[in-house]
Amino acid sequence: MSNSDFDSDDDLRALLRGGDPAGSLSPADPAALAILLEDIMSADLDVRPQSDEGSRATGTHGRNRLTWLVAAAAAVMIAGAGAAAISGLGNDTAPPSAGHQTTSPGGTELSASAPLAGQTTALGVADQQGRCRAPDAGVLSQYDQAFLGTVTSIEGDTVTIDTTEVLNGEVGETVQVTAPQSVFNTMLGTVNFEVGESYLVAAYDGQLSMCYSGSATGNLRAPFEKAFVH
Amino acid sequence: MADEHSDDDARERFERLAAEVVEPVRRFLARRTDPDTAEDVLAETLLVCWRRLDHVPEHALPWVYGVARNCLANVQRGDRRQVRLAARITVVDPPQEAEREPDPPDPRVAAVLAVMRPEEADLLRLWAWEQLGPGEIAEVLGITPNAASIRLHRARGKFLEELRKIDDAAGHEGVREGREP
Repeated sequence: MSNSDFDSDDDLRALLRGGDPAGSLSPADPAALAILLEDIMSADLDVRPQSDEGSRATGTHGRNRLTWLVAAAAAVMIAGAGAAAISGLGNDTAPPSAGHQTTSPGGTELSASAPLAGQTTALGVADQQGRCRAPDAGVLSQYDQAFLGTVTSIEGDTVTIDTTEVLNGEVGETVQVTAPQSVFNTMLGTVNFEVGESYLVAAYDGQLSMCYSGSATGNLRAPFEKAFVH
Repeated sequence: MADEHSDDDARERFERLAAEVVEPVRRFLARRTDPDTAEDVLAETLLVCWRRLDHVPEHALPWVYGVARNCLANVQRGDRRQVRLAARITVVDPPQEAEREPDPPDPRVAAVLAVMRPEEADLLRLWAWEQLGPGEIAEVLGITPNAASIRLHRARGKFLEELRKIDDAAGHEGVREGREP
């Protein structure tokens, strides 16, 4: 058909560029940008688990606006006051060893490291607003903890998972997911946790994502592979 | 000591990365959302970059666009936490510069993009506005380069088809610049 008007892609590109709404965007104010970058780097001392050493000892030094902003974001995701995010990791624990290849239940190889021996990681549950979209590896890659594990018990308001492989971040060999009852029930229904089954789980700031946690053999496999296999 | 050095190193790398990507990402966001949300998502994108500094590839921009795109998608899902972010970050923002009158973009482009499927419109924006090749587009969208090429080709065809409809409806001849009648 006749794309003959635009035999050259360059012509079409030029036409599209004529509709570029950012064509006249003025550059960012360098001073404001410098403040923002500094805020990000400082704030992160408070939220980046592997930066625990020393940085926490500096007290509130890093607690600037962005810290509170990040904290506020996390607070909204926490489904209730009781579901505090505690990473049960000590400061002296070694980072996960370099990835090795492992075969997960579905048979595909995931790049993974071992869980932290003897450690229990406590997760809250991010309250899900609205419906989950189709899982996206790009979004998933931003979660700072991701692992494969088998549910060993579901009791009261706690799901206990034995970690099989850690795909991102630091995760203890046991993970306990706790949430207020209503959120907990929603999570059970959304993630379909069942004792004895294997799950892929993603968490951000200590909060399990209902949208990005589910059966290890379900439709999360591909995005987990894409997000965490390097 | 070692920590201090690695911290310094990380800061330096992050600042270099920011210098490289901030303006392209600001334009990326300005093309896709309102100014307040753009500032908000820029901050969140940079935060992700900082936290995942070790994962940022050497050719960083497509990867960073991918992050920005995801952060923006989160906002557009109406996530409440993003509303909070927006509310807070305005504190950090510089006062808005005096309104400038941008050159009015060709309205047909927006009209056509609006009627196309969002994924196709997105491909065209990445190609024409961010000026990415299929390989880079693939990286942003998390698809294969081959799929990006095919979809891009299809999207270009679709764009022209829709453009023609608009022009026909308006009796518009403007598209044909440089072409023999």
